[in-house]
Amino acid sequence: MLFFKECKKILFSLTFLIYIVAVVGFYMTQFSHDAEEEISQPRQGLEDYGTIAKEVPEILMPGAANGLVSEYLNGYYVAYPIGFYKEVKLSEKKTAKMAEIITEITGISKEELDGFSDFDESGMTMMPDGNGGYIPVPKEPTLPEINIPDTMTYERFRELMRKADKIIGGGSQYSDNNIVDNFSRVPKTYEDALAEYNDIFEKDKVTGAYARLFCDYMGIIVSILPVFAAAALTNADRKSRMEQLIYARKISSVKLVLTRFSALVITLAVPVILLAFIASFRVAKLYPENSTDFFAIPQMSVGWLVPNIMFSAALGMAFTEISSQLIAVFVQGVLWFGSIMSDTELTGDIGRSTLVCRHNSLYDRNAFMENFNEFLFNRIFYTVLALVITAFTIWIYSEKRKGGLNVIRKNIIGKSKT
Amino acid sequence: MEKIEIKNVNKYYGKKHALKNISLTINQGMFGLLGRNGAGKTTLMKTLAGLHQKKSGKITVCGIPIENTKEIRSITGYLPQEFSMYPNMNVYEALDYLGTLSGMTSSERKKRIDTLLKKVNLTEHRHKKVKALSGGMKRRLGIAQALLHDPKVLIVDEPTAGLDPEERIRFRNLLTDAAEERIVILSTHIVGDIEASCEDIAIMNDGKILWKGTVSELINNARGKVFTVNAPQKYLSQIRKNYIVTGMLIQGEYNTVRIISDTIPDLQGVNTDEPNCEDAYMYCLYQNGCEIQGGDE
Amino acid sequence: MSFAKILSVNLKHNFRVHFILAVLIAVLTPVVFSISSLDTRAAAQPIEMLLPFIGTVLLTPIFLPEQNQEIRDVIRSKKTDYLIVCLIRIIYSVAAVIFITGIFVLFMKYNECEVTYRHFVGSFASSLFLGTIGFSVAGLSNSVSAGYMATIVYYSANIGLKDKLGIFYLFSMCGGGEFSDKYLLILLSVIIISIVFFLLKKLDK
Repeated sequence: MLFFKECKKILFSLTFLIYIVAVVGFYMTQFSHDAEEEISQPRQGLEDYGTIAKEVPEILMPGAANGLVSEYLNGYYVAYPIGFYKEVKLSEKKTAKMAEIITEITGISKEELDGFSDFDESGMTMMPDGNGGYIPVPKEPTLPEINIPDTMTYERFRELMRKADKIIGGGSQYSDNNIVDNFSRVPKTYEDALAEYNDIFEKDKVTGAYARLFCDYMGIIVSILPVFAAAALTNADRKSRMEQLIYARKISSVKLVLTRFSALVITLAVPVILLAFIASFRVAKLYPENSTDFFAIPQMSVGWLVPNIMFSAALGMAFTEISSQLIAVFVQGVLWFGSIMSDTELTGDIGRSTLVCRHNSLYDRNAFMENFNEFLFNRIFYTVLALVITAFTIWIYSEKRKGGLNVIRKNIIGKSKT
Repeated sequence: MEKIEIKNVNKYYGKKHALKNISLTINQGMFGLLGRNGAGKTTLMKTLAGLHQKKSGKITVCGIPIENTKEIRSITGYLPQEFSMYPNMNVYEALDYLGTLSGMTSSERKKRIDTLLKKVNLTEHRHKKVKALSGGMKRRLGIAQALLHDPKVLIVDEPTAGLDPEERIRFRNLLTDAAEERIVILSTHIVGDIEASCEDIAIMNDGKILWKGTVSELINNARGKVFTVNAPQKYLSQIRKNYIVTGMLIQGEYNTVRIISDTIPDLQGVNTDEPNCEDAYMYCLYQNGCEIQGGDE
Repeated sequence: MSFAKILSVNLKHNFRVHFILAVLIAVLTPVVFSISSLDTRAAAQPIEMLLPFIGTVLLTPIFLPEQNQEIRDVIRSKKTDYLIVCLIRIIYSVAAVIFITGIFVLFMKYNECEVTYRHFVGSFASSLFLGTIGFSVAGLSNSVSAGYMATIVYYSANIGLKDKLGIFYLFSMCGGGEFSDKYLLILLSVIIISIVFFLLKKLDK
């Protein structure tokens, strides 16, 4: 059967071997390491249980006001309009508008702001992000005294912050998505920590928490490596100069492309799902006295990771068919890199079009669940997109069989290049 | 006189014993290496060209041990079975670059490239890109690059496979001219190539030399072993089953079948015939116990 | 051996696309990462996290022109050792890495970033090592795709394992790590490239 023959081609390829090594390596060095110790119940009387984003106007308003004044004096505003870190410099007109907002919030006039001479030329520095990495943040400068008038209501303040975000162009620290997280963090209490702990055991059945972590790590690798296997499989006919032989065969383009696509998705997904089962065993062993959901990790893997495999495979096939393996890898690489770099928060930051979904923690269930609809939309989006791209690939292949697109390809890439 | 001496050479590809105790002496002129696909011809050619290392044995090319790779490559020209070059280079650029890699000076290259392009009839295609060349043109470019640095030894691996009859004859003539002043080793599974241009030949099978000598000696060896018979269509499969058939001419109801056999075949109307090179080759394989391929069951 | 001729032919036919890709990466880096008024550590981010891919695109395809066995046999049959040709390619590719990195660091300095020679050396070391990984796998497996793949796997390991990779951690300067590790990366790259050449010679490739 053609499906099994295509699977065999993939299984015995060098790209698949490297994929397996990478997937198993990632599992062993990352997830396995993090899953070595049990989640321990928080002890009472500790000084620090971490922080939590909580909308507290008394904390948020001064924090955000300080941030806005600081950035005004710096001359640029940090924003992530399309997920990438960007420094936005405003025109004179927009700067004047921003000054108006600051005046309303703080009472400081534009002339006072512009005349403030104690401000240090700061720039950006790197701060730990709490997950072992570093992110760029503005340095702490000296600021003028900021007093928010009593007449400023919280609603009005938030309205002004939205306006400020709009002037910056979106994605700033003052947007509705970011303002609470950036400026209104409160220390977790023992009760908060205990509630979070209980959620893991009651709502997540423990394995749910590990499932998210497993998918976080594996997602990094399965969002990019399938493109190589897909490109290699698609290019195999060309490399062995068999294209014309296959073109002349009876099999329909739909059947051939779909069979290859399915073979790719299945062969690449199965090892990951097998590892998910191994992870489940491991977690169950770690918590022998608790009832765990054995299928949570495999199920989550299917829903979280398979769309990535599908998308990467579909893109790899499409671009290799149109142009070359190199272009396919480059395009997927750019998308993957962009996603990895723009994941500023490693939990609770999954958007509708986030390619590599991150949740690098056993905790923060609430952050994930609050975003769950976005996550669901995201995964369905990538699944559908993968199928649409595959349909496009079918059309391209069909045209090439009729001798249509080959002329263009030959002129761009050349006859003999592999 | 320059010659190539090969003594007890063995080569392995992993566990596969690709060359088994090969011993040959190749003198100036055209030497033919005949054998099936997978006989070990290409492996031997590549070893002589310095592309593979032997496991054991001794090879000297014009007195130079094969281990002196740089020297060997400066006196040998190699045309592989499937020749190709960087697709976006044009013919002249390809020869110029390969000439540079052969250690030729700029003036030497200029002179030789013009001469060789003329010889292989590619002068008007000198600015054509390699990817735009037909199969025959590519093969001619291949022979030009192999002769570019005026080597003492020319090694050509199956040069006429896939060429049309006209190209094949042109190629043979080129090689014959080249053989006047150098050693030319030609490997092929097309007996016609050998017959047309080689004096000395060797037959290889399964990594071994089955036979070496001249073409006329090979043909003599098969004298009295080649027969023809006119047989009706219905007996053909039976004949193929019992004898080695080297040719068949269909003439209506009766077919003239050409058979190789040590003894006179037990068939009505059998006649002895003069062996040609193909018959002699097949007889050699048969004599050495090789399983003869082809024909219906 | 006409070094100049070999160099010019390879630059013309086998280098252009990869150089353009490398320049594209360098041009994209300031689009992805803001590069003005960054202090020493923040300035390390763009030159450790994205710019080193120029090493990948320049060094991994060193063997690509001869990936086709037919072409390789013709080139290897010549007097000039094929590995010498590859060495020439490595030299001009490394020169390109140095050139692009140098221009980029100077551009950062012009944009008031606190960059020093350490940023230049550190970025070059990361580029060279990343490229060496790709080059080695591509050379030994005769597959440039496998080379690119190995680079991505190694880069991903840096994202996941972070400073647990020790001297192999590419983003060490962002985190204020030991700068001397970068010199070790350069030395390791040279050693690995030498080993690969030795193995290729031994394997008749």
